[in-house]
Amino acid sequence: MKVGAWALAALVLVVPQARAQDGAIDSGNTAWMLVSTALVILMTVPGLVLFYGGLVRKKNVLATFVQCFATCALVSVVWMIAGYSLAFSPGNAFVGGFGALFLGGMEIGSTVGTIPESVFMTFQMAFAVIAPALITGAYADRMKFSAMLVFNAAWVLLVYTPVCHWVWGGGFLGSEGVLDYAGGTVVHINAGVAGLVAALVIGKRLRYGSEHFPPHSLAFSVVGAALLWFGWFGFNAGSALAADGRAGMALAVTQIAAAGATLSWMAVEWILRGKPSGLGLISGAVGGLVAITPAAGFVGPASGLAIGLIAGVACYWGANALKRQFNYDDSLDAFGIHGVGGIVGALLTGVFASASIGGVPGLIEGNAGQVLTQLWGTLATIAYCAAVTWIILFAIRKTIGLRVDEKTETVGLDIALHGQRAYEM
Amino acid sequence: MKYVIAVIQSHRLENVRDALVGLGIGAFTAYEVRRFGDSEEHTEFYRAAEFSVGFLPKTKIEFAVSDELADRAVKALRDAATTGSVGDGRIYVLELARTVQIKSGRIDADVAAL
Repeated sequence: MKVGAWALAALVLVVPQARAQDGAIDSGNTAWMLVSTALVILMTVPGLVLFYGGLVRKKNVLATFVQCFATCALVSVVWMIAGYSLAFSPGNAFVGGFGALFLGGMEIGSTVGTIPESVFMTFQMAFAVIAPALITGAYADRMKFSAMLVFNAAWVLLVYTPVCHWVWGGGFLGSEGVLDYAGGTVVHINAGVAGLVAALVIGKRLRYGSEHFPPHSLAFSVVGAALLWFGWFGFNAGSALAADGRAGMALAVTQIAAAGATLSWMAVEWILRGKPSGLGLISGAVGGLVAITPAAGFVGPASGLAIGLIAGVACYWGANALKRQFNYDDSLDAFGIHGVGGIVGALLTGVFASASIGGVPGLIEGNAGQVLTQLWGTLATIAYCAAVTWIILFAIRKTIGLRVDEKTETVGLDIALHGQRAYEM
Repeated sequence: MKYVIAVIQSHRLENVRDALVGLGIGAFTAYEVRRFGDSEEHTEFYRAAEFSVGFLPKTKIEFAVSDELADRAVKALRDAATTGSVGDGRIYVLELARTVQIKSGRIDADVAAL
């Protein structure tokens, strides 16, 4: 009963599910959400573009850029046509309705809370954009461009949108009290698990394990990670849908957790490998940002630091030991960082949630059931995402094919698929 | 006339330039290269990928010099480039038939330094 009451409180206080309600537009809130939306778009282009682009080999740089860029365009249109409606229109516990196809009914005066619905829709569109863009890191260097486009469109509609509805759109996970402030489950667990499935289905890169694939430009990756960090303030503090105290706290814990994870990854790497690497620092930062995402509106600064410190170690394990032990080729560690970081963050949200910040207590404040609720949300997302992602990939492989041929992979995707190269020198 | 090729540690390039200019050798070409086989290597690691790198970044310089100046140039180059550690590089001295200035077409069979 107690858990149920807290779940109801979470639903009322957290879930931005209301759509097209009449209400007064608050200019301050709207201004902040306009900025936040732009910041989240910045995370994909150019943030993720540079982060991932720097990590691949020189012959695949342009293709990696193009994958993220094309995903941004494609998913924006898919979201406009059907994604938003199926995520946020009134429907059942599993999927939204068709009432807002092609954004029908969205007028200039439509509001969600105190912001225009157009802003809310675009903010959510930016989330839908970055999720499949994150997955591209798992199959980097070897997927056909056409297959990637089909996969991204199908995945957004069949995986991202339902899970988004489950958690934020009035679906069963949100109703049952699963806490996900800014997308730890919806975006990161979802993308990470899909990345792992994609890596397993598409197979390893040619000569993986016998040939070394060092990043062609860690400078790109550092700049990309820095842009991700910058944009993440819109991701997390924007999820308040208001310029208020909760947004401020979300911003603060985002910075603290990212810093903590950077330092803990650095420390582990320094101890185990003797040197604190540049790639390690930026990977730790991203891992911390991922892990604080579900918790950002529910925890205070000390908890933010704890989540960050734990996430740095966990993501180091995910991107190193786990991948090595099971010998799969998650090229740029979409699962190792986003999957592991998302899972750790979701569970720790149940541990550290504070009633004084987000209205829901966690384990430390005596509500042990919240951890189980978080675990349920995590497992449901993993199971659904893994199954449907596999089905989509299987269907693509049987029809247009998933993977480029050996010659294309050897020559590089830039020239073979796009007829251009990133560098002329 | 000799043609001198040297592969050196990149951070010694400025010292080498000063030494050669001090001998009156006013022009040479330098470029970044990667060299394998000096019995030194280092380990790089990128998340789960770890490997030994045998190709190491070096700087290669080339210049033409008269027979009279060649030995002094080689000695000055070696003195300026050495650090005493593995990987300091190597100097190659070749016989050179002639050089041709592209601008004027002038053929130099033996000059002090080019």
